[in-house]
Amino acid sequence: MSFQVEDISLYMGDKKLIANVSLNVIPGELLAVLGPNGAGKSTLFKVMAGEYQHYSGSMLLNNTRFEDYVGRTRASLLGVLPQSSQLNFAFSVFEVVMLGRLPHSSGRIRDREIAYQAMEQVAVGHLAQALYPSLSGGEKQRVQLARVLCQIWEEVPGQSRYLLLDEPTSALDLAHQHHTLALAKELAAQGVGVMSILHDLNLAAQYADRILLLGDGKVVAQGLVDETLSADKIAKLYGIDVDVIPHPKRAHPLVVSL
Amino acid sequence: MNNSVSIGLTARELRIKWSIISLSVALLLCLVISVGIGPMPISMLDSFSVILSKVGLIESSASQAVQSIVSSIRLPRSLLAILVGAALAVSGAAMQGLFRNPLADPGLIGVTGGASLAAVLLIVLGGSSFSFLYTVFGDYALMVAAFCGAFTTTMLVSKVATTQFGTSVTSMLLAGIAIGIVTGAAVGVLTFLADDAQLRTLTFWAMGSLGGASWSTVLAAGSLITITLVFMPSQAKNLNALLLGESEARHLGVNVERVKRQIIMLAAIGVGASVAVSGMIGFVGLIVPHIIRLTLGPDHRYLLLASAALGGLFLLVADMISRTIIAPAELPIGLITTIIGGPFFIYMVIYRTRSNAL
Repeated sequence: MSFQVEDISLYMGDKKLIANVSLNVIPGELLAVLGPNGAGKSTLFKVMAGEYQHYSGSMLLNNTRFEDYVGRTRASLLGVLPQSSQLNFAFSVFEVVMLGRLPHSSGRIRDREIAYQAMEQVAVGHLAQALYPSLSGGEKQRVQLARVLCQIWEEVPGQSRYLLLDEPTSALDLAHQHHTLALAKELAAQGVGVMSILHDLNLAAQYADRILLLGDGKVVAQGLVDETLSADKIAKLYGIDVDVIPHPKRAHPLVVSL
Repeated sequence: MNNSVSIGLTARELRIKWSIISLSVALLLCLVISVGIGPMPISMLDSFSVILSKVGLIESSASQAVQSIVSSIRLPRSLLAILVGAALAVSGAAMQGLFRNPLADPGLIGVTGGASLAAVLLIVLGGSSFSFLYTVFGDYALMVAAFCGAFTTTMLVSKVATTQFGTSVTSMLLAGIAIGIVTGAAVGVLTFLADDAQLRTLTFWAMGSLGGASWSTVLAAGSLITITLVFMPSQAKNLNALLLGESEARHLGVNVERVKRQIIMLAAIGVGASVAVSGMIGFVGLIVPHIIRLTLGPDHRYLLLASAALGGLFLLVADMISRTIIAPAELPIGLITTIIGGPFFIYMVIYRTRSNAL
């Protein structure tokens, strides 16, 4: 079982946004999607989140066609965290996180337990009664993450769950960046298939199991971290000179710009 | 389970419950008072006993004259005020959720204008061009027309304001203003075609009035408004999800297109029925949900219910003012709500511009 994306292309008018992208989000793995601005990362993300209908190619979620799912069933398998949220109504943090339980009918008490556990996971438990619009950008991002965690919190018998993250660390300080990706990694260890768009190559090197490099709407490379993060590939993709050296303390590469 | 969790929540939910209960009690109390107020004052006890006898609970001991004034003149009018207020407030609250903006009042975004134009069209040209509507729908013809007008304008505003990047509030308000002006002008043209009797009806439309209340209007409007009041709350959770954004709602498994259509339909039924019986009563849908959000929060599971109660209460009080302030003449209720609502709207715009939320 996996979230299998086969030969996806999407055109907006005559403009090609992504072309012939194939990838596989495998339960138990963290897949990082990297690439320069305008490479089509967000387009790919939105297609996989079900926001565009007019793509060509196919997507299989746990061997079932993506389009064949009922909304609620799919929502209990696939959590999506977009980059920014438009929410400006004065919900409390707890209420926002509880929205993640919408696809489920597990009962109010169970839903609350899950919501509180999810808030603890992303360290916003102390903000439970704070009003969402009053939070900082980073806090909002973590609250939204808690909401999405809440959505796919429980295992679905016989099915694998997936989590799509669009730059989940963009508004976070260094500590929370690592905390968030460690959490994503932990979810993967629990059998969730995680895909995350990232900008920081070294965060990807540290936490990802596999990396997909996207350039100009096409897959440039995908595979294990050591295979994909090579100096020449990065130089070609981003147009800057880099060196890739072994991390002094850890068993993954370190990308340094020259 | 975490103890502090359950306690904190129960307290908040208790507050919400109590607010809704006390709103309902205030509404009933106000109903009794409003029935007593008028050229011939009636004691609260008598009013109450006639209302109860009307429901069939007791035999009223009030005099025949009092009974007939209450039951055939004042009670239907007060009930209509409650129905229209509830419908406008709930429709407003739901549209604000749909557009993710607390300024989306049915009046401001052109919906009442559209409903009113359709209704005026029917009044002025009804005898000739649209007579089939009367044969098909009978007493409901005006409401059907108003509903069509409300539905069409909401769809139009929604289409204009929604791009692939989401709903633009600026476009929504601008489209609403434009539609309001156009419908206003069209109504103006129609007034030139109208005869004297029609002209009187049209004036009543433009300013909003509950003066036409009778049991038949209460029944007709009530049956439609009940649809909105009963079914809108079943969209509460979907509306909550929509506040996150349409994409987020979709990710949560909400069938966004269908839900939007249903909400627009229900709001149009509520606004259409209200406009058909009482004309243009502005700002109820703006003020009421805003006050509820400030006190109880934006959760639609409570917002819709509480808005219905406060909306009914608000219009009931406004109607009492309209009947008494220049008695024996009557100030159109739409003027009163607008006098209160206009400044309130300006305050909201200033407040939201300051907090950069517009």
